[in-house]
Amino acid sequence: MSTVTSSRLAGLGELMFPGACIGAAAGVMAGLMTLGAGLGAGLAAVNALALGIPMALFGGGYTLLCARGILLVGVFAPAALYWLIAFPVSRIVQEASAAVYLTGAPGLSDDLWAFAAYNALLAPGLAFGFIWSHERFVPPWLMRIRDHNPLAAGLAQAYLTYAARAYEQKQRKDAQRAARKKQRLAAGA
Amino acid sequence: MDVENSTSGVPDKDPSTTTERVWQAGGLDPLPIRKLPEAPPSIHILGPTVFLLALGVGMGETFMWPRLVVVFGPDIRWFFLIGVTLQAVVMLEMSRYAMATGESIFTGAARVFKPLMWFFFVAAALIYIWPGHMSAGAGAFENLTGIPWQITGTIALICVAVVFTLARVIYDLLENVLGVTIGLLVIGSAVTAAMVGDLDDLGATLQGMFAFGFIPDGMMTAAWFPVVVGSIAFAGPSGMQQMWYTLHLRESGAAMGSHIPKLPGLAHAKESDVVAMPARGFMFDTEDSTEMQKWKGWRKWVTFDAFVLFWGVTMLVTIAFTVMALKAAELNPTVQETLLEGDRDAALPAMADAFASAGGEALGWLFLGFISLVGLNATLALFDSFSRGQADMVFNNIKGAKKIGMPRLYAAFLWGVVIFGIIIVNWGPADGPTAVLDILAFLSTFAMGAYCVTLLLVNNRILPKPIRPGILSNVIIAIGAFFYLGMLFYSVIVYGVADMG
Repeated sequence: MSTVTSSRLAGLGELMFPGACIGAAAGVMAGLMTLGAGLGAGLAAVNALALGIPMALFGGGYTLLCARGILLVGVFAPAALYWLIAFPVSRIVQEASAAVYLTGAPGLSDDLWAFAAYNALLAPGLAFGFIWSHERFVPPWLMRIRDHNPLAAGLAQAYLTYAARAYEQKQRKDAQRAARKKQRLAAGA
Repeated sequence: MDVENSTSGVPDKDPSTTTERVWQAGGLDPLPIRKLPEAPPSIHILGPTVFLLALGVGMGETFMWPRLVVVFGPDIRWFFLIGVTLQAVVMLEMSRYAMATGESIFTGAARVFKPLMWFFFVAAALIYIWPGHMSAGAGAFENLTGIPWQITGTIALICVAVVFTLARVIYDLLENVLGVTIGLLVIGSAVTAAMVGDLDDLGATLQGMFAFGFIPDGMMTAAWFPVVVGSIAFAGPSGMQQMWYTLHLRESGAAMGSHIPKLPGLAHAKESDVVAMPARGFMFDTEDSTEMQKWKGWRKWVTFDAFVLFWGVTMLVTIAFTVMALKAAELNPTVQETLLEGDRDAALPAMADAFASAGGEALGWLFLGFISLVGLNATLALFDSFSRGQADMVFNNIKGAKKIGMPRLYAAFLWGVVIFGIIIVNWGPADGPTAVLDILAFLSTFAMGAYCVTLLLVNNRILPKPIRPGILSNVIIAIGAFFYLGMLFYSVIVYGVADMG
């Protein structure tokens, strides 16, 4: 592997780190729950890893897609759509892995479609928690690494552009409203 | 707007001595006119709602409503929808005065009638000085770890006081901490519901929210009517938590709150901080169309706070807990009987046992884990809010208090309530003396009715006409006052029960 490729991968990892941590937190919770329930350290580890790894990948992937400009930063709808797919997939991996650990064969606690539909319905809730945390952790992280990480610099710029655009949009709306009001007053007079 | 025509019934003390433009607002000093800052975009994630969520997503969502669902079925949840929606409107109206003036609703109450404000001061001291609110969280932690709750409680109390004393800016620290824990709570709720429930449970939960008019058998009894009313009242923030939200709104720099300096921890407070805190708030020029445009922007911002962040997060958390409750009832039908027959004080461990017996130990553990997290959030937000509220009332209404300064007053109330809390946690009744428990419970719900009346008075008498609430908001708040006070008195008179918990 060339130095350029490895440094690019390191940069990618650095960029995806906070999003991946938030995703991995879901796995940690699943593991802690299993451990606290006294179901054994083995199953706890399986649940933590089997949910944590896909969720971390999807979490980091979300940050990456934002950096690429494919997903808009700070907007809920794309995040909800993203997790609508990502959460059920992660849960299927977790349930199937737990079944392999317990019975030796993959399986789900419910019919595949019902299982996926149920988890998809919960996905907007998870997306809300994810974006809530993402908006808190990611921008300060980007500010720290943007000087040496071009991808992070791009995303940091996207956040700044988003803030500026939202502000401009608001200013434009306010101006339009004021103009309409002025027109109405003039027409009334 | 100027001195001559800006009256709300009280004339200037001596208009000739000042050329500053002011808004005469009730019985206290007039509010000088200042510029309203530009409103941020209405769609946002960060903001003072985290405090209301930390205080509000509490026992109602995680315990009282799941219990009602187990007992009466998911269709009872339409009451919850009404309760939370009412609280979202209350939140909007609380913010109106705080954002227009940079003052808390307590100062607004003092402008209408000073004894009204002192009522809230006394009520807060009586209700919130007891550390019982943290006993549920610490108790759940004891069930999880075996560590006696008195030890956890004492350590938590000391940590809270030390951290708030050392913080450079208390609000910023708390917003960050609560933001993280609420993010975890929401993600955790979704993961929990995913691991515990299924499509049928979720369908029943959502359907139950719209079963308007459903009154189950057994609800209109002395045992359950007060509990149902209390659960509706405690859907979202209860007691005086909405009033404290006005302090956090100001501290976050929302609208005219931007003219009020932030409160530093005592360790970082300088003499300049003592001098900088003004004795009253400010008002913007409501006759200036540009200022009114900015005001509309701020109202949009807070509406997003109320209906997306507050309403949405509260709903998400409670849906997850309801799914858990439904699963418990489905797997173990005796849960319902246990709760119907059980002592209400023993209901928390009974719920955990019920969850554990229904869905394996995992469910019981999960339930207790969440109660611990909710307890931690509530403890952090509550100690700060209580101290902030009491300090605000003393600072603005007692002669000589301004010389002491807000940081020292805040620290005095904080350490006072913490030291009292440690004594009570270890040697006294955590919820307060048994003899006055009913009075405290009564006061908590009574304060909610009282703040609705206060809101109507403050927003309609103190604020300039262009920014007063519309008829719909007034009607909803009046219904809130009627509901909280009416149901409380009905419960006391008909059933002889004041405790709505």
